Amino acid sequence: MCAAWRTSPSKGGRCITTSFARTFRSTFRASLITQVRAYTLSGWTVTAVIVPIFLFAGAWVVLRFLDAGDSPGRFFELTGYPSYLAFVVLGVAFNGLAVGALEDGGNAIYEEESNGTWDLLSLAPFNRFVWMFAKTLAGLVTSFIDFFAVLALGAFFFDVAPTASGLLVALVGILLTVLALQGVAYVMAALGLVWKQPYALAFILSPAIILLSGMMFPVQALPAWTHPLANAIPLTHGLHIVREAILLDRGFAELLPVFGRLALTGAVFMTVGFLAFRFMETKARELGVLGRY
Amino acid sequence: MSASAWGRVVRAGIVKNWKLSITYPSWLINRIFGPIVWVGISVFSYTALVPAEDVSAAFVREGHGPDFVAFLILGQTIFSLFTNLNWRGGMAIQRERWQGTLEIIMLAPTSRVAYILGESLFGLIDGGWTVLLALIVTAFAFGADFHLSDPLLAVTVIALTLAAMVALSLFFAAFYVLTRSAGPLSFSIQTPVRFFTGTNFPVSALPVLLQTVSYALPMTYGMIAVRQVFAGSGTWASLATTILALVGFTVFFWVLGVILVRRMEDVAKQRGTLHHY
Repeated sequence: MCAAWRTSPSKGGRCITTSFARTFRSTFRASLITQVRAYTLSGWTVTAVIVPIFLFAGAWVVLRFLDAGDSPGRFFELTGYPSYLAFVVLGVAFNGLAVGALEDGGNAIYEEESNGTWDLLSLAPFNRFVWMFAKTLAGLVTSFIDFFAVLALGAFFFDVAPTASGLLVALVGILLTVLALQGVAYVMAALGLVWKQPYALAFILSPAIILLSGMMFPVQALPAWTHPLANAIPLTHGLHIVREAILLDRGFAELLPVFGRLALTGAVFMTVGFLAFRFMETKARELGVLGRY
Repeated sequence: MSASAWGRVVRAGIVKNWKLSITYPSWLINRIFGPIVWVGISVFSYTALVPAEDVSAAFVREGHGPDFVAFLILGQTIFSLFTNLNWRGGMAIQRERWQGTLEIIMLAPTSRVAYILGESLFGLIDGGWTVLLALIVTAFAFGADFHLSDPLLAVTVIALTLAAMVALSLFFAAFYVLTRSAGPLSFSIQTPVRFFTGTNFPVSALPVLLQTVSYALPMTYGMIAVRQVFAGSGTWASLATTILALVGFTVFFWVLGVILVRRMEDVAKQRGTLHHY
């Protein structure tokens, strides 16, 4: 019986793998259905279109207002990119992934807490990390769709047209970023377990990540003391890869160090998230606050 | 309904929200931290493009002072107050719907307008001091310079801006519920409002056609008035039209809000589906 893997060491690896796969499949499927249903509600579809359009428009007005051309002097000096609006389009496209990572992790727990099912889930003999991974990954699927929708909007309005090789490098960068953001989601879930109200935390961190990751302006424009913080966020490196690949057609070889930093920060967040989740779950059990929200 | 009963309902709304607020202190950090970071994003979005002197020159060209940091801080201040009122007052009825207490509120022998006003006023108190704190912190951090030449005028324009936004939140409270898309609507209007009101740039930088939308929003007038007063350039005479517009918006949205709240009550009684969401 695979369900008894905890008490049947002889059946070891195979049962654990099957159990993990079952947990992943059922959780991913259920969460994806919920996500798609919410995503296709007309109100949220309109939101997904309106928000990026006005963010692009804001950048366009600022550029027009400054009257400094497509790639203003200081911006070009800092980045070498030919177009500020294309830079913003790619930044805004990443916004959905960042918000998804911040909200989905905490929300995965909060949803169960507020539905009154978290106590039951925490008693069930399945792997919590596989469950969390499946839940947050389902959340990121819709963010992934958002990413390409925003990119298409940007391409339509601001002529962002990547080459095939650039797009391939960017795709690998995006996939790695999505994985790295899972670590962020674990950390958020861990904090939500004890602190509760994960939305509050996501709302605090969301503008901080926009500020530090270079979503709307190059990170180099920030004061030097913030650079270590910016470099600690996987999103900063993900954005860098995608922009370099799409706007300057850089290849894997040139971007290898950035890929390395993305993998490293992602691994750190995964490990910290994993440990923090275990610690916080134990703490929540001890404090008797598992079901509170 | 007597004035004292109205007062009691308003007070109850404030007390209830205060208790909820101290139960979830994490939201407090969010309210303090958020506006500070958003000002940072606005400032760096300019200085990453061109040197600070060029940004100042662009603001001067559009008829504003060279202190663009003060311009951005005041814009963010008004915008943050709007988001607070949008959430507290505008989402008041929707929150009861989510919490399953809407029917109780609807059956209570009290004024629904007073109830929403209580929620909005708490939003003003709660959001007011956190936004003010953010204003002071960012002014020090980014070196903004304010010149307040007429304190009475400042109090007047701030009070009128807040009154117009409270009236708008009353309108939103009923409008959101009637459209049955309160969550997405309240969220999705924030980015267009930030854009059209000129939170991050002068409204005059927008194409003329879009400016017509800007001037249909009370927050635009609030930002114009507050910025002029705190730059030391606003006078009673120069701001007379803006003040009148703010009074007009307050009356307009208050009347419209009261009508829509009544309509919402009628819908609740006739169809019995108001609690669906």
